[in-house]
Amino acid sequence: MDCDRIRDDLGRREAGLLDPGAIQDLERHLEGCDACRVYSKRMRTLVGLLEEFPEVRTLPRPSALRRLSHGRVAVVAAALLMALAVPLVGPLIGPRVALEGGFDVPSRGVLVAQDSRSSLVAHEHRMRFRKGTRVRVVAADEVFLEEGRLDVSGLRDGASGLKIGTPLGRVAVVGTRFVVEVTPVNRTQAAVAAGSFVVGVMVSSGVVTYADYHRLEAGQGIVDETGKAPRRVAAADVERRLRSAADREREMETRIAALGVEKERLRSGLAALQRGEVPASKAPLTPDERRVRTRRLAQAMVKTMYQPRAVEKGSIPLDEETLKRLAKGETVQVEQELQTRVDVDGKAMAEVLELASDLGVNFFDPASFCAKADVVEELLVAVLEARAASASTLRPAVENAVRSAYAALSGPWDSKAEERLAQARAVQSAFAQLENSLSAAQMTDLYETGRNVLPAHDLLILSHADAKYRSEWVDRVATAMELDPAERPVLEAAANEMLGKLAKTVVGSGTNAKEIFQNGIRAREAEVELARQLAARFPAKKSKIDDALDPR
Amino acid sequence: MTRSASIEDEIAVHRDELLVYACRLAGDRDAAEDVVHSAFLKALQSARSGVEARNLRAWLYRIVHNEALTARRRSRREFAALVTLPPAAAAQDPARTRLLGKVEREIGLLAEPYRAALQLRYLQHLKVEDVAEVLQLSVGTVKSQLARGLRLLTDRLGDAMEGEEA
Repeated sequence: MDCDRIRDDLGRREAGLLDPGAIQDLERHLEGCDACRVYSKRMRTLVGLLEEFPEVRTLPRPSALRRLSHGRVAVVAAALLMALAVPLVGPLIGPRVALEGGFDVPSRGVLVAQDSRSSLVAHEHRMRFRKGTRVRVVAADEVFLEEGRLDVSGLRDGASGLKIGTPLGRVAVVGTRFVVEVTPVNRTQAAVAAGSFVVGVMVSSGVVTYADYHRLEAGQGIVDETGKAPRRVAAADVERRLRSAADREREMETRIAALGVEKERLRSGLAALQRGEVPASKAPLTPDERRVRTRRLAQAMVKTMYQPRAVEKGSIPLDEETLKRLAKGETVQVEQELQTRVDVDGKAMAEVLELASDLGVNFFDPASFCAKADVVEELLVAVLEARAASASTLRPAVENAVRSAYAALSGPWDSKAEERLAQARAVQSAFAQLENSLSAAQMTDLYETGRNVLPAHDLLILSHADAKYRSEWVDRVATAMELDPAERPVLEAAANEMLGKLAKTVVGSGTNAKEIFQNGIRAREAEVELARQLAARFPAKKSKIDDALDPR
Repeated sequence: MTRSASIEDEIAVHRDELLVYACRLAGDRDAAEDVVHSAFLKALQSARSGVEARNLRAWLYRIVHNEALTARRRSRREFAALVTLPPAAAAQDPARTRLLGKVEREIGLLAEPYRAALQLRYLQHLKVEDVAEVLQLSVGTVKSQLARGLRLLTDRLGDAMEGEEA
C-alpha cells in the first residue's frame, strides 16, 4: 500500500473530505503500518493544537512591536533624539516628541525623511513620512509640510489639536487617522518657488478641518490646487489622483529615454544606408560582437530583474536570546532584509530589448534564454558578479560547466516540449557541476535565476488544483487540438494520470529556489510524457499538440 | 449615510482581528496598518456605491486579504520571517508558547493557497464557509487546500508533536 497516498488521505480525513468507505480503508492500513500510525497520531495532535490555537485579538503596542521588528530603528531613534532633536528642533517642540528612523536635517527645524520608516511623534500623533518628505517643525503642536506625504494617526482615541500647515491651507486634526500630501505641480525649482502645489487630504477615521472651514469626515477628502478652489472628493479619489500624477511623470521619463535610444538607432541606420552600407543592426554579428552584446544583455538584465537580495552585514537574528535582551531594555540590531528596489529606467530597458532582439532571444519568453548557451553563461556570471565582483574569477568554471552541459544536447527533438526539457536539464546539469566550486549562497543565487528562467509551469499549479480547474484546462487543450467531444475523455484520462503522478513527484512547499527549479523540470518531464501519449493516440493532431500544451 | 455609518461601526468591531490578520500577512505593524487603512477606504467606497455584503466579516476579511497580497507583491518582502505575534493566551507555559510560535511560523512559510486557508481557518478561527467566501473559492477547494496544508505541516512539524498528546 502506498504510504504517501495514505498520508494525503489523513489530511483529507481531517478536512472532512473522506467518505466512510475510504475511512475504513485508511484504518485498515493504519492497523498494519507503524510508520503511518505514528504519522496519523502526529497529525491529530497538530490539528488538536490548531483547533485550540489561542485567538490573538489585540496587537502589542506599536512602540514595542516596532522595537522587535525594527530593532535598528530604536537605536537610530535614540541616537537622533540625543544628537539632533535636542539642539536642532528641541527648543521648538515639547518633551513628548520623538523621532523614529533616519532624517536629514538640512537646516534648523527642517526634517527630510531618509526612508519611509521615518516618523515623528508629536502631540499624541504619529506622523509617518514617505521617503523624501520635507517638514518644518513650527511648534510643539504644529508642523509645516513643505513637500511629500504624511500618514497621520492618533496615538489614542480622540487625540486632537495637532496642526499641519501646507503651502495652500492648514489642516487641523480633530480625529485620528488621515493622510496629507503636498505635490509640487512641476518639479523645477522655479515652479516650487512660484508656489504651484497640489494638496490632498484624505481621512479614514475621525474628523479633520482643512483651511479652517472645510470639515472632512471619514471617507472624505479634498484636493486643493494653486489657483483653483478646493474640491471635495471621496477619499479614494484623492489617492488615485495624486498617485497618478507621480506615475505619469515616471512613465514619461521612461518613454523619452526609450525614444532617444530608438532615434539614435534609426539615425545611424539611415546614415549607413546613405553611405550605401548595410545598417549595423541588420548585419550578422561577428563572434566578438555577439560576445560583447551577450555580456551587456546579461548585466543589464541582472541589474533590472535578477538583482539578488542583499542582507545587511553585522545584523543578528531575532531569536529568543535577542528577545530577552530587548525585554531588559537593551538595544540590539535585528536582522532585516534590505530591499534593493530597482526602478526600471527607460534607457536600460530599451537596451535590453534591442540586445535581446539582436541575439535572437525573445525577451518576453524567459524560456527562450535557455536555448542559447552563451546567454545562459553570461547570465550566470552576471548574477554571481552582482553579489561580489570577485566572482569574475569563477567565469572559467561557469563557462566550462555550461558549455559541456550544452554540448551534450543533441537534437532534433520530436516536439518543442522535448526541446525545452532538454535545455532545462542542461541548465540543471551545469548547476550540478558547479555545486562543488560555489558557496551555498552563490548556488541559491543561481537557482533563483534558474527558476526565473524556468517559471512555474502551469502543470505544476494544475497538479494541486481542484477537479474544476483541471476540467477547464482539459477543455482548453481539447479546443486547441480540435478534438471531437467523444475524444475528450481520452485526453482527460491521460491528463489526470499525468497530473496525479506529477503531484507525487513534486517536492517541498515552494519556498526553496532549488526545489522550485527542480519542480519546474519535473513539470516539463510530465509535459513531454503527456505530449508523447497524445501523439500516440491522436496521430492526426500531432502538429497541434505543442501549441495546445504551451500556448506561448 | 446610515449604511456607511454601520460599516464604520462594523469595521471598528473587527478592526483588531483584521489588523492581526494583516500583520500575519504583511509582516509588520506599519504595513498592516496601511493595509487595514486602505481596505477600510475600499469598504467605505463599496458600501457607498451600494454593494451589499451578506457576510460582513468575511467581506472585510476578503478586502484585507486582497489588499495585503497586493501590498506584499509591491514590496516583494519575504514576510513570514519578520514578525511573530505573541500567542497571547497560552503564555503560562513557555514550552507551549514556543511550540505555538513554531506552528505559526511554519504556516506562514507554506505556499500561498495552503497558508491562507490554514491561517484563516485556524489562526483567525473562521468557519470553512467563511474562508471560502474570503478566498472566493468553493468550500470543496478550501477543504482540499486545508487537507494538503495539514499534510505539508505534519511533514514539517511532525517531530515537534511528540509528547504533545492533547
